[in-house]
Amino acid sequence: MTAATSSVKALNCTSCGGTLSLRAAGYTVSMVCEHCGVTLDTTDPQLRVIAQATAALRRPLIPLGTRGVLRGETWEVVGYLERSDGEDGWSEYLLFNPYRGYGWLVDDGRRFNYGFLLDSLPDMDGAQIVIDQGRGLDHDSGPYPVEVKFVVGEFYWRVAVGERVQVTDYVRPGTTVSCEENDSERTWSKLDLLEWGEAERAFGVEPRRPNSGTPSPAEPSPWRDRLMESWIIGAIAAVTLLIIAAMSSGTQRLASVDAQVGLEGAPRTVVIHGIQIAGHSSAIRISAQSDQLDNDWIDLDYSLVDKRTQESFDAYGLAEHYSGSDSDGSWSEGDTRPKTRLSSVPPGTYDLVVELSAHRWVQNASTSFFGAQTGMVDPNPTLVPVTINVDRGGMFAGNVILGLILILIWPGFVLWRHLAFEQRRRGSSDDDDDDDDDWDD
Amino acid sequence: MKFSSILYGVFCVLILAVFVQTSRTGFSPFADGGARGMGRGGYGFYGPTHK
Repeated sequence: MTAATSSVKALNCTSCGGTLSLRAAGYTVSMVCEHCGVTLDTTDPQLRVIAQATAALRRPLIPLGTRGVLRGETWEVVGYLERSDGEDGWSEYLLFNPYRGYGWLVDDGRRFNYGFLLDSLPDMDGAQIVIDQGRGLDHDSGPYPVEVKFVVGEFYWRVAVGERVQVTDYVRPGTTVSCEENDSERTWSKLDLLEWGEAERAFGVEPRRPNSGTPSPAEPSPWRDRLMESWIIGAIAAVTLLIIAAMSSGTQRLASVDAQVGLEGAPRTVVIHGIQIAGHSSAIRISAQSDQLDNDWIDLDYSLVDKRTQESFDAYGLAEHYSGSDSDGSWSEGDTRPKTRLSSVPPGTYDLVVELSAHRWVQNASTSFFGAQTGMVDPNPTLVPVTINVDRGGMFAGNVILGLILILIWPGFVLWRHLAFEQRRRGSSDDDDDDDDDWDD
Repeated sequence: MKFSSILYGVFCVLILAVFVQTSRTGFSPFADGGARGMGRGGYGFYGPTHK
């Protein structure tokens, strides 16, 4: 669009006599007096009054006549109107450049959008529309009625308060295409979402800060890039951690001993001498195995004693097996092969002292704390075999789980913020049935 | 790449480094005993928990 002739022309309002500046002379069809609010016909040399003022004049955030450079184009604000769909309202600034024509700056109260009328019809592709052979835009809302609530300045059509159109919106991240229809015409316009502060810098108004208000349907999630990056980094780190865990899970048998302990007999002590831990500190796993337990348990008190320093690493194990039947059928439980893990045992030579005591479990007897149920020692107990193995190394599952949790905290937080944003964004859209997969591309 | 992603990458490297070191020395706060292990708890809990 070009302007062969364009100049600022001084006029006087035929209603109030106030001085007016006609900025887009030759293009402007109607003009709303910024002093009294009447609508004037600028195509009439007598500046005929089209409509009387219907509302008290308000001052736009960006005053009429303000010039600014937006995305490389110099614009002057020539018109301002406020519209509403009955629930939400927004402001639209008509921009003019004699060489570029008209543009729009739309303020939804949170962010600014910048755009133009389309000079060609969008292509329909199923439920989407396509412009400029680019990505499609999904139907977002409408058609819904929109009414002009306030207007001031000059326009290329005869706009007046109360003017109604039916609007249908199509969106993709960062872009809205709106179709406006009334009885006589249908127009398409494309609006691009501006960065925070971009319009404010261009026209010299107070910049807005990113806030948690309701985003527009076309606003892409500010967490989307972080989400992609954090999940990629997190996945790499998690896989690396699992590989390290798998490579570190090997064990080395240090000692093994077979022993017997009498059920309800006197406790027995078994000592495994000369367990060598060479090189560096490492985890020690003491595992007991007693597969002949039947409604019995064995207490296993371990003391791994450094022969040089007499430092003792103590732990406890419990081998047990119980079974029975009730109204639900038969049941069994218990671990006959308990594993006890010692953390970071320093290198050295150790003796493992194991104190074993085996007991029968009698139903309906006390099964709560400490000590055998009878307190009696059987002089001729039934012997139960127990095998005790000592291994070096292995991986603590708790360490792996803790590492994965720490790695996934940030991606989880970003995902939560992203979903919260998307929920708010979808809350501002009328069309809940839309497929929002594209928004995560 | 966002600065927060770079920081997160550094954090992951630190986590992996700590994990490698704990794997090498066999340290775990979840051990039943040993150096700085939290332990399994008290003695004497025996008997089935069935019903």
